[in-house]
Amino acid sequence: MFDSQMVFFGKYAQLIKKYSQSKQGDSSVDWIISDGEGKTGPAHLFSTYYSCLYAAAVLGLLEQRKIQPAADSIDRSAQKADVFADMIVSHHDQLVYLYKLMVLTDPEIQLSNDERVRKAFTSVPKEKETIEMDYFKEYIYGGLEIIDDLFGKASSYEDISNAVSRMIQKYESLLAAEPVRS
Amino acid sequence: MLIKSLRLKNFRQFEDITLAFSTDPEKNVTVLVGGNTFGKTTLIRAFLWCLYKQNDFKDKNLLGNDIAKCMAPTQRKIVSVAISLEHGGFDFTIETHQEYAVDGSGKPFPSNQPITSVSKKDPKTGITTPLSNDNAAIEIERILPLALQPYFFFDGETNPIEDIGKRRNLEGAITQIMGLDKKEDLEGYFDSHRSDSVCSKFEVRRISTDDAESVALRAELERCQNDLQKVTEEANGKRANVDLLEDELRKKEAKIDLFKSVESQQNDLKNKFRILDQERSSREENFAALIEAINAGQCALGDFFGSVAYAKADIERSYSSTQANERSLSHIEVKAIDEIEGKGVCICGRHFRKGDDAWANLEAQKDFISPNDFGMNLKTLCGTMDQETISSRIFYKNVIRYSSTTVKAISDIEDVKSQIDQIEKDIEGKPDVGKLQAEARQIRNDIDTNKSAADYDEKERIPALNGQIDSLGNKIKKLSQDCEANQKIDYYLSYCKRIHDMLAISLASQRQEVRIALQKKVNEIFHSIFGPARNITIDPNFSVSSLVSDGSLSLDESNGLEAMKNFSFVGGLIYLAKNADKIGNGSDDLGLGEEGEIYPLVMDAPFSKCDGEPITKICSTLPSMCNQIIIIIMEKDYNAAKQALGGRTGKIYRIKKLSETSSEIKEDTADVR
Repeated sequence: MFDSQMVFFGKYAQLIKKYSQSKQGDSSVDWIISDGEGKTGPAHLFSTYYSCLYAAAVLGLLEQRKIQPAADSIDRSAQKADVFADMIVSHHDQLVYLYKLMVLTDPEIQLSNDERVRKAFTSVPKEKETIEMDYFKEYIYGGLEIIDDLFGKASSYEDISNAVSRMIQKYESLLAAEPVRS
Repeated sequence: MLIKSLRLKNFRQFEDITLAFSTDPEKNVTVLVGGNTFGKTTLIRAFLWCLYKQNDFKDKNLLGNDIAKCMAPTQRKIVSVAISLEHGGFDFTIETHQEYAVDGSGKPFPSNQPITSVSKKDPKTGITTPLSNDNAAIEIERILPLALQPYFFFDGETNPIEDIGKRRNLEGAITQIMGLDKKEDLEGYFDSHRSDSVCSKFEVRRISTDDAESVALRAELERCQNDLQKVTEEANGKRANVDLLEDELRKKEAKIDLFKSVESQQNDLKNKFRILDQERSSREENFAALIEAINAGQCALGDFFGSVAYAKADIERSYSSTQANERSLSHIEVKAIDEIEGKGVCICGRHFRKGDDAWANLEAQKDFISPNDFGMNLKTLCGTMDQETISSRIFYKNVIRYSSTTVKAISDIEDVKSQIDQIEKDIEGKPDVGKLQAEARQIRNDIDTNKSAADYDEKERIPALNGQIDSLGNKIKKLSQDCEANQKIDYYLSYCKRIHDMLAISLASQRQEVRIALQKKVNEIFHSIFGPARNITIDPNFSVSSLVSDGSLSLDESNGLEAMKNFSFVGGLIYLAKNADKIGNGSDDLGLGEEGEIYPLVMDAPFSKCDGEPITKICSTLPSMCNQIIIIIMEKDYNAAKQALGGRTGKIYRIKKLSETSSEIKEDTADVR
């Protein structure tokens, strides 16, 4: 798992492109914002598609928002965003780590804690890779929708800055306490 | 010159007004009362446009905006100003008019040059003679020479009365008032050094000897005379430039003074623009830092969410009681179990066989031994996540800082821009004082350059040429004196020289007498206003300074004292003009002074820089010094002046502002006592 390219289509491809710096030559998805003084220009939140999908996946996990997309949301004839294999492979460990976190924290997984630990720390068998990958992508879709809810209407430096603040301030209390050592 | 009336038609904010000024010698003051922007300065400028076609309005437009608004592009309107005055026993009507049209956008523009007509009426015969264009200009110059106009018409802005003592070309003006300029011309006519003098004309008639030496000397003399004429013209040109530049500098300094308060606002504006640039940079830099922070590492925002998800799920606590943790054998490797299984004997000494319970138990332990030590893997994950949580706290602080600084910069930009708008609104239409100061500095440099060059011409080049001319003349004379005709010429020349020397002595003496008379009169007026504690001195260059009674130069002059000094000086000038034929003729019989002439004193906002007491003192004295005073004044200054002007006020007008582009003037007969 996580040793080949990841491809996104339709609405989600469009969201990845919108919030990333690179558009793969597609200017129709530019995120145009204003500086508040009448000057406009393209903006981005993420420098790469990979950063976008990674942040979306973790956010989806954090908010437990998994989406099984409708067919028209991943229409292969519409937008397409490729996250190339070299990018995936170079971030393999980070993605595996995230997958483990998903398995350990997903309340929908009907397993005992011991079984979860075993599943989390055992390599995914080849025959189950597609299922697990789809599972992983559901979090990405969920996270992308959260990001779009937060930033979809942002049209200025001020809107983006405020949205970023709101997005992370929500979790301030969870980070405040030192982790409890057992 | 006594001004009887002024009529303005379509001129700026005045659609059609006629003002009759008091000409009664006992009630020689006409007062026009109005607030700021009511059109007070417009009235002074109307006089100057009518007399000299001088247009000092910044936008140069003379046609009233209300009239222009109603005009079609094909229509034409006439702007006109007419002055009726009495001068030298004749009645004059001077009228200047100009045609205006509007362009497609409704903006007015002059469609021809202004035209001035003058008619002259002899009151004894009743015959009125219209003057031709050329004669009109000459007649106006005779009535009030353009160069003297700034001494009698003060517009409060480009030519405030406060600046009169600072002027550097007073000598020229006084020379002209006293008619000494004509005597100076006469002195030049008899100057043997000048090629255009009568002496040179005699020299031409000298019968020359034809020997080579005489021919060479004459050629050299001619060259020297030509050079002298050229250098003299150059020096005069430089002096004239100095006069022009000094006049320009005075106007500029008056403007700087007038808009001094604007300077701090303009500096404030520049500062606000600097702050605006800084805030814009702060906005760009902090927003860029925010995006960079989000993407730092392998995506710091994702790692932050990971830390939060880990903390939220409380993984370490949730999984603390799993078998993975309880049964973890962190220090044993699978190879060790394989070795024990191969030997069939446990390290405790118990024997076992493959497939029995003990063997199965050993096999099961392999799930808790590296690499399948899930408990260890869980601990490692928790340890890594704890580390990431520390990084995420730093990330959190940075992102909040960058985003709040970006938002603050945006809010500050709005604030600064609204402050800039306010300042720009406040200083709209006012000149850039910094630029004016730079221009004034440049003019001062140009004055210094011209003065140095003229000094060099006058002190070095001209005396050297004069010496050469004298020496050559003597040599030529020596070679040709035998001839009777030449002896006659020498006789004439010595006669010319005698006249020239007499005129030079007379001029020097007259200048001195004029200076003393002026100083005496100015002090007489000054003492009657201020008292005897201080004196005013006028130096040989006619520069004015006030001294305390012990004779030391006063450097600390209040605005009130300055005003009293200036009004005294103006009073002195008017006295000089009136008595030009009587002053400066006592020392010899060469009096060529002008016949005395009266001038009006027309002033806009003359008391804007002084308070109640000086106004009262000036107003109680000045009317007796002048033949006619027309004073345009603010209501508050009028209240201070009213009592002191007393019975000298002949007419009062009130200027009423109807709109930003329209004013009217009504006579206030009730206020005249």
